[in-house]
Amino acid sequence: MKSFKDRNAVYYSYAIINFFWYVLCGTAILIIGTLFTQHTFGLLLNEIHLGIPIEPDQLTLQTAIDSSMISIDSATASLNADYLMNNHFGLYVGILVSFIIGMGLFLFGFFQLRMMLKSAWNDKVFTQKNITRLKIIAGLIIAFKPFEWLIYQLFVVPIDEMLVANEISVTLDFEPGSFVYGLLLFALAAVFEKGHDMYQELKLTV
Amino acid sequence: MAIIVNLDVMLAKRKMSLTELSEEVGITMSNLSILKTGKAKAIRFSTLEAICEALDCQPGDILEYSEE
Repeated sequence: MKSFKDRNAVYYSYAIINFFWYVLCGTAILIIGTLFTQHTFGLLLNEIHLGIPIEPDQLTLQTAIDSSMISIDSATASLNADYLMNNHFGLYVGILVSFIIGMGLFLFGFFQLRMMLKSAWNDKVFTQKNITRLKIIAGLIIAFKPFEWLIYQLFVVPIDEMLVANEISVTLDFEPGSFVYGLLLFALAAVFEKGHDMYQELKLTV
Repeated sequence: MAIIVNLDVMLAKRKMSLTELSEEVGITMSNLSILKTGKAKAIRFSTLEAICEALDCQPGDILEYSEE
């Protein structure tokens, strides 16, 4: 470990990430604790947001305007999780489990980032472990959107269908941004692999 | 093809130990071990020069090319 006098960008990045790591861990424990406490005592406050398609003629407008002149996509409704727990327990458990899995994966990815910065602080950047860490982060970023979509399909769509009489069209909101970030990280992992090879050669030069 | 390092042969000829060579040349034991066991990826001219001087030999006496 370097002296604290040698503070540089790596040190400050590591310090910030380290701080957020502990904050996130604490938050995760609090959220899970809250969820289970709420489940035990029935003090449910969590809400699930639903998009409900409505037509302009369903609205009562203050000023008389022809409904054909207005375009409304949807209204947002909030569902108290208490209702879900009491009436659709399977869905409620599914949402809880998927939430915990998602949070666990996020923390796992964040932990990889923290360890990478720690190794940079210790001047051991080009290591096999860091290459694996980068690939894990890249994989998690790429897998995040499909995971989110799957959870939506499994749990939110059934709730929508139960509650809303209108026909709902579900579309996959694909954002290429995260996918590109994931690919970029894979490319960075390849660069790290080359750096690792060069570092090994340097170490074996006498 | 491979480059074979005959450092142990030269050390035996000069009746010198690896520790003695390490002290005379100023290269760490671990680096000399890497060289002796053939794990080295590269050797600096300065290292080769120092070893040749200490063992009173030519680079060809230490390094040998072998076609595998």
